[in-house]
Parts: sequence; structure tokens; C-alpha cells
Amino acid sequence: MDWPCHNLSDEEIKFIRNDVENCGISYSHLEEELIDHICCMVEEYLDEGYNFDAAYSRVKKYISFDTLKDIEIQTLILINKKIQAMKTTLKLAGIIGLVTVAVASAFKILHLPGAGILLTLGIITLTFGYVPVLIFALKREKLLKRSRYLAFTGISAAFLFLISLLFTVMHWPLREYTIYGSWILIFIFLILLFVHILRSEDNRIIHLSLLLFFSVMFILDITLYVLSQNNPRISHLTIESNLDESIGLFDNSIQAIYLDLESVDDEKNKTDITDFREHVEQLIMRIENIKTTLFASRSEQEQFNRKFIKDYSKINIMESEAKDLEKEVNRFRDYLIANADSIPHLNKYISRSIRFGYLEFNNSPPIVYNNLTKLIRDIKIAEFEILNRLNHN
Amino acid sequence: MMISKELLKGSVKSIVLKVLAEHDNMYGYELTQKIEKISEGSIKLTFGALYPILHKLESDGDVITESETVNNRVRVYYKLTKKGNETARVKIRELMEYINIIQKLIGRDYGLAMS
Repeated sequence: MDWPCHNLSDEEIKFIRNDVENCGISYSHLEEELIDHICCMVEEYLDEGYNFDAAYSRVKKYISFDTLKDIEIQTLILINKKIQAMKTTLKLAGIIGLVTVAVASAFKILHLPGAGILLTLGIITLTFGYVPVLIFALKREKLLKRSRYLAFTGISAAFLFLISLLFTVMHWPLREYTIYGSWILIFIFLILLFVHILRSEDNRIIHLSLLLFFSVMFILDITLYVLSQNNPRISHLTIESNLDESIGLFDNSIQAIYLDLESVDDEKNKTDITDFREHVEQLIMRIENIKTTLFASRSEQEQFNRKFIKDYSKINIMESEAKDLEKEVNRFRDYLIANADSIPHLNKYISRSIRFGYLEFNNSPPIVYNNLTKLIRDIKIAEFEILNRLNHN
Repeated sequence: MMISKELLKGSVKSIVLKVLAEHDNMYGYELTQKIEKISEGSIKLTFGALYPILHKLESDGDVITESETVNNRVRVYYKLTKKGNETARVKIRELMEYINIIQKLIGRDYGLAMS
């Protein structure tokens, strides 16, 4: 075989090397081999009598420098090493992220400590582990080029959706904006997906069902969000106004009975009744005070917004106060039972309704608020029953 | 006649192994020239087809490489390993069988020939 006998000069090799190095090939000894290969091809033309420039431009016609990087990509795909590592990372990040989120959700449901941290870790793993590797993997396999805008919006939507989850869980400010942002991106993604399906011929049914699935999930997401925004506000206000009304009615009757009883000329009875009245008033005042501190330094609008409803921290601080209240309510119950003169139905009513566990404070402020109002109503009912009995005697 | 890329695709690895089995220590350009010469110009391997396969063989342990500086540039020589020899044997036999079957399929007269 005739091997080239014209050797390239150092400058000429340097010239070729420079062109190849610009392609940014880094895998193993591939770059050196390509330089040698191109040099050999040029030398072959030199043997045929071409000068360097002519020979090199002929070689360049045969091989395009734009595709040199592709050779490395093809090599890597064939060797599968990096791809394999990438796929392992993808799987690991995906599994760890999802398992952490699942465990965190279980923690949250069971009210175990550490749910917030776990959930944050899970979402961070998914957002900053899974999504970037996914982008990289898609890019490697050239899937991004085909439908660039669709992939871009899809990935950004997923990214922002995860971020909004994180913000919501952590009660960070500006979380509404991340939620709305992710909605906009998901909406654009769905439109692009629809256009993409219309344009492409293959797998239409699978794609359309996917689109349907995404759309349903999207609508469900928005509906759930809107419902969760509105519901507590409505129910809280409705219950509150109903309770206030019934308490007002009882209060009117109670005041009337007190007037009746106090008009009777029996000193002992009078002191007893005043004593009883003071007892009830003190307890109710105490409960009212706790109700006020629950919403202390909150504007009316703030009291019913979602952020505050979810704000448990405020309640936890009140734990000692809640325990005191529990004791007091129990003491009051015993006092009432002693005053009910062992009338069976009244005793039953009192022991069943006048009770308050400090664990009730393990709720959102408006719910605790409602429960306290309910307690006041029950105390009023018991008060009314006892006074009514005294009056008839 | 030039052999089309599509036809060549599945057999490049076997061809490279066969050539390496018969010649110790070859570098990329040498391999393409050799294959072109043996095939009388019918098979011109582009380096886009050759190098990924050479590197795959290397990572699978079928070949080892040796670098040498020749004419002021690095030249990488490929040599079959023991395992590579075995792979070559298997791959060549597989290709031969394939050629036989294709021969049977294509060579037979199914009565399709129009008179």
C-alpha cells in the first residue's frame, strides 16, 4: 500500500489542530485521532501534487467540521457510559425525591415533626436534581431540537410548578406569584402541545389522551386551589354569625331570669345567684380574652385570609394558656354539676357539652375561634337551664 | 459500486474486527484505507462511522490502544486483545451466516422475475 510520503510541517499541523480543537471534543483520545486522520487525508492530496491550502480545502469538502462534535456524541451514546450515569442519576433523583415527598406527606397527615423539612428536601431534590438532569439527557439524545418551544415551556412549567409547591409548603412570601406563573406556563404548554399534535401525524391518539390528561389535571389543580382559598372563609363566617345569634337569644332570656330571681327577697338565695353569675361571667370573659388574643394585631381582612388560616405557629405559643383554660372549664363543670342538684338530664348535658381539651388549640385560628364561641354558647345554655330550674322552684 | 450506508451499518463492527484480526496495530486512517483497498473502493468508511465503533470496542475491552508520536502528532494504534479475538471470531461467523441467508433469500427465484 502506498502511504503518503509528504509530511505536513509543524505550522500546518498546528493549523489543522486549531480547527479541530475549536470543535471542543474532550472524550478520551478522540481529538488526537481526528487530527491525525485529517492530517493523513491532507497528506494524501499533497502526494497528488496539491499545495496545502488546496489539499486542506478538498478535505474540508469531504468532512464537515460542524459534525466533528457529533462523532463524540455518537461515541458516547455507543459507549453508553455517560448516558448510563445520567440515567442512573435521573432514576435516583426521581425515586429519592418522590419517596421523600411521600414520606413527608405521611408525616404531615400524622402530625409528626419534620414533615416540613422532608417535604422541602424532596421538592428540592426533584427541582434541582431531577429537572436539570432531565434537560441534559433530552439534549444529549437530541430530543430538544425537534420541538424546542414545547420542551422549553414544558420543562419550565414543571420547574415552576415544583417551586410553587415548595413556596406554598414553606409559606414563603410571593408564593401566589409562583403559582400563577406556573399556571400561565402550563397553559402555554398545553396550547403548544395541541398545535404539536395537530402538526404531527403519528401517535395522535396517545398524544391526544396525554393532552386530555394534562388538561384535566390542570383544571383540577386550579379548582382545588380556588376552593381551598374560598371555603374556610365562608364556613368560618357563617358558623360565627349563626353562633352569635343563638348566644344573643340565650343571653336575653338569661338576663330576664336574673332580673326575676334578684327581685325575690331571699338574701341567701341572692348571694348564691350573684356568686353563680360572677362565676359564669368570669369564665366567659376569660374565653373572650383568649379569642381576642387569637386575632391580636391582625386586621379584619388578615384574619380570614389563607395565610393566617394556615398559621398554626400562633396557636402553639398559647399552649399553656389553653391548658389553664382546660382546667378552668373542668372546674366550672364540676361546679355546675354541684349546682344542678343531681337532675339527671341536666347533669348529662353539662358533663357532655361543657368540656374543652387544650388539644383543640391544635387547629387553625378561625377553627379555634369557632370552638371557643361554641363553648360560650354551651355555657350559656347550661346557665339558662340552671337559672330556669331555680326560677321555677 | 459504492456500498450504501444503510447496508453497511450493521456490519462495520465485524469488518473492523476482521481487519484488526489480520493486522496487528492499526490506526484509524490506516483502517479506512485498508478497507477501501480490499473492497476495491466499494466501502469508504467515514470517520463518523469508524471512531465511535473503535472507542466502543476499546471500552468493551476488545481492543487496547497505544499512542505514538509520528510526524509531530499523536497517532493511536489499535490492537485486538484476547477477548477481542474471540469477539472477532463470533462476529465474523455471525456475519458469514447472515450473508448465507441473504444469499438464499435474494439468490432464489421466487417467480417474481418478469420475462
